[in-house]
Amino acid sequence: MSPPISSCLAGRKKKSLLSFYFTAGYPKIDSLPLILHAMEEGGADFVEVGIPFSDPLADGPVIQQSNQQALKAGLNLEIVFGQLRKIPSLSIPLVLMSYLNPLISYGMEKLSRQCESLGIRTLIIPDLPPWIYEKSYRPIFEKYGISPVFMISEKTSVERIEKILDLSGEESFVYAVSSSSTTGTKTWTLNKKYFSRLKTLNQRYPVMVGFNLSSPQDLKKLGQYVSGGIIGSALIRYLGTPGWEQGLSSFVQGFRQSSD
Amino acid sequence: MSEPSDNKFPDAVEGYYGSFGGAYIPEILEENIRNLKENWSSICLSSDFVKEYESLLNQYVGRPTPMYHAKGLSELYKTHIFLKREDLCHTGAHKINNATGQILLAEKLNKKRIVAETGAGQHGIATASVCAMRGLECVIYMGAEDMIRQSLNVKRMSMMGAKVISVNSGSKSLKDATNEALRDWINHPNDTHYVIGSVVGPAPYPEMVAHFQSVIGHEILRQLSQPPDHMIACVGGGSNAIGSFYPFLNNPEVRLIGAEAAGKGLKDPQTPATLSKGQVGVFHGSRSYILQNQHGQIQSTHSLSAGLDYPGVGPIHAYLKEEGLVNYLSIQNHEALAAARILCNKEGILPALESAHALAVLEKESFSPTETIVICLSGRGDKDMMAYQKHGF
Repeated sequence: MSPPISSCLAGRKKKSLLSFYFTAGYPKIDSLPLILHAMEEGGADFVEVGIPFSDPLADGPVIQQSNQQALKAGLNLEIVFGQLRKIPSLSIPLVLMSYLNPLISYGMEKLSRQCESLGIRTLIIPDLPPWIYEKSYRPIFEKYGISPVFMISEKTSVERIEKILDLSGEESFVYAVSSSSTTGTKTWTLNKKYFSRLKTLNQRYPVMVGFNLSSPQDLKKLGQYVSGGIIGSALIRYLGTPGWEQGLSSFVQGFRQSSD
Repeated sequence: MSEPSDNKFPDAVEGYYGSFGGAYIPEILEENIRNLKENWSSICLSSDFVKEYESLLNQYVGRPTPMYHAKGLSELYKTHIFLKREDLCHTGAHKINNATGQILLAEKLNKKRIVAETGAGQHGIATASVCAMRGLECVIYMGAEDMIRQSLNVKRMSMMGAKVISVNSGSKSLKDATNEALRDWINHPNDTHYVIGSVVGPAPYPEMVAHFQSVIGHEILRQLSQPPDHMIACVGGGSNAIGSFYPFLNNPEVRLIGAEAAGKGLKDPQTPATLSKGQVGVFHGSRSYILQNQHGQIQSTHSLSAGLDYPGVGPIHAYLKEEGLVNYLSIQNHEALAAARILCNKEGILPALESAHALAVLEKESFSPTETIVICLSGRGDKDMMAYQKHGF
């Protein structure tokens, strides 16, 4: 069981939140428990567990490669749930991130039931637009107390953001993409105009920024605008280096210190 | 699972064919897709655009393409067979009908850079050629595997000034090239238009590509004194098929037959026969039949013809199949090869391997001596010489 994300989001005004994304099944099919343990130890506020997909459209080469490697090792959603069930209790909230098709294939109702039983109440589905969610999946998600997370970019209109807030649940946050890009593809520079908008939005609703953040300095820069940042490709790259098992919690701590 | 059929969200919900289609896209592409959705039909139906497009189709593409009465084939199969000669289009296939339309549209949308995916290379060449003619930057994504299979086409694209990028992710073929083209668009949303090559992808692409390809069917209707009894076309994503079927979709008198590639057969785990063996899912931005494993991962496929080597199919074909409006048959590699040989021998025409799948239907179905059959000969076979030679030609 993992705690709900709302408890951690509630503390966002006191400190900058630190989150990580990693692909389940990478670098090894059974790496997940070890990674989660290091996340707790290193002081991550919450973690996104990525379900690998054969065709991850919004991802750059690093995450693509981790997806392929995990699939090659035979990872699937059922295995991820099995691994999570074996972890007695987690002190940090988990968010599940997956492209839509593996979830449709698994069955949305079954998925929601599994998530509920594991204490996972937040789902990110990057290729599920808000209005399709509203029509097709909202009733199921709400039945099991699951909240969706929608992404916004510098191009997302005010009306669309309002709609997203309207569809968001108790365990949602707004996922703001740092710039127009696939993950881990560009060097991030802070667009002042966009981040000022995010700052205003963050006063109403928790906003987390992700895509192309790679260093503790990046997190420091965005701390004054939003609730926190999500590190993805930089972590996956680190997990591909020898000795990551021993070093991971200090890797996390390195980011933690800059967020505090 | 019910899918939306109406909508409260401001972004409208056209682009569904029954429960198929839609625009399942990451948020970063939302503005580009909305921009297309809101503008493509008004631009493309404006009289200025129509005039310019038709003039290019006429003078650059070489339309109308001939409707050839294939006497040798007709004698062999004891019926009346006509070939719609899309293989005689400039650059050698129907793909240029769509590429020309979309590139004109991109100009109107002030896009300076064009990206496209290509499988067999025909869509890539069409796009590269039109870009050269219009002075636009052109980037083509092509699977590394396909670049080997179609090396001559890679050279042709380069000669037109296009940058051809080898795609090494996934199965290194059309599906992966499409992923990379979409990722390129995500990374260049302001100056770039993505010219998708078939009736696949997020709405409004399927509808828009079908519109540009419908010139094939409209010409067929004009060139024959009456609608044919059978209209046959091959289906990968399904653009030449839908273009051919278009004016006949509401005419129950015309039997529509789509020929999809079965590769080595429907039992082969790598068969690309999406409509026969696929399940409904979401892939490349739309809800349609897709070839996937039990965990929802997209399968890699293998067909002799790179252009039909795709684990998805246009949502409109999924709908037409479900409604029983088109009869979809699957054709194996050896059947397509045999049909290509017959066309060479009887008519002196070398078909593309893709089009050979449509020709193979002649062996599978029986036709009466009084019936008229039109087959869309979607492309010419020069690009497939290596494959033909490998198989004993």
